[in-house]
Amino acid sequence: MNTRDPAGSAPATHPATAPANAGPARAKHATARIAALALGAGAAAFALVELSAGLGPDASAAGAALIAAAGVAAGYILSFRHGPLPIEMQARLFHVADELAQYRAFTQLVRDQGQRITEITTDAATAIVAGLVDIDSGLVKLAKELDTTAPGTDLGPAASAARAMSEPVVDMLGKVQFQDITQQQIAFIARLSLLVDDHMTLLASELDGRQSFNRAGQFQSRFAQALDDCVMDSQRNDHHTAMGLSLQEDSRPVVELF
Amino acid sequence: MASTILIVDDSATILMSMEAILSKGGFVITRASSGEEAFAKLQGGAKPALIITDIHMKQMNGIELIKKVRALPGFQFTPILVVTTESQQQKRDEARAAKATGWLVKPVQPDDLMKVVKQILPQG
Repeated sequence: MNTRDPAGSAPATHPATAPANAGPARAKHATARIAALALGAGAAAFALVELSAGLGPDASAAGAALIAAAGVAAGYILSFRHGPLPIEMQARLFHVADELAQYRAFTQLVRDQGQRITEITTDAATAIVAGLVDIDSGLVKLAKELDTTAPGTDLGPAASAARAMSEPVVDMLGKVQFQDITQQQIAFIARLSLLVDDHMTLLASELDGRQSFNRAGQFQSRFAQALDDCVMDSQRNDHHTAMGLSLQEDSRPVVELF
Repeated sequence: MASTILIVDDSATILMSMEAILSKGGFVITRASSGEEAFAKLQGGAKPALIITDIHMKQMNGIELIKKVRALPGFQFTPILVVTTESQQQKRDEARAAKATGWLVKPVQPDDLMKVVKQILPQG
């Protein structure tokens, strides 16, 4: 059974407190703005000093104002390098990241139910096989005993009936194989849900650290990779259909000697 | 003397079902629930007349098992049947290249299984 923590490592932030829980992006915003203010203040102070020293007030003042403006502009541009999103939008993104993490609890629940079904059907199928084997051996023994009962007693029909009753048992033993097919179908579903989990984790981490330019990749390409996980033609055919393809696997003989 | 068949599958249901079917056909059955267990039995001296193996098993899959068995002294010609849900031609070709004897797709009809086994082991 999958033991991954469904909550994952995505930040559990509340929209109202998201601005207070600033990540690296927000820290850089603050640093850039402080630097811009400092530069602007420094330029203004310089201008005042020059003016008071009497060194051509017009030129000096203009130069100082230019420097101050350049400083503020530089700071402003720097702050935009890390994203100009308003607080509300950032809060929403954190909320989405948080919600993506919660979905993983749901997919874990689905996988656990699949595991439960597999365990129950395995127990039932093995009990059925054991029972059928017992029935069969009982009937074979009965037929033998009837065959060897005291001469003169016509128990031939009874012995034949006992043998006839054991004939369907072999067919039923073959049918029990359904449980293995079901188990593999459920395992495939579990692998698909893990694929979804991984993708949601990457998306959640992208929303949190919006400076990252690493792309999580399109889910469609991940889903295409799931084709490698298929273990039977019916799964591949379902996959082709889900991708919108009208492709079907070629039928091949179920019994082939090489 | 009845021939011994080694069945390899990680599904308990398949092991029990196939054992019951083949036992009715008069064969002696040995079971292994993984490729590693099967290989260990063969290395330990088991000499089945036929090996039946699944493909999709954890750790050592059926194709890997076939290759390892073929490399064991005395097993180059032991018939090995693949019984699997898989039907992909590429996998069949891999099994054939690894020197498997045949391929059966699950769920296997008991009649089909018995027919193929008796074809491979006519002496029973």
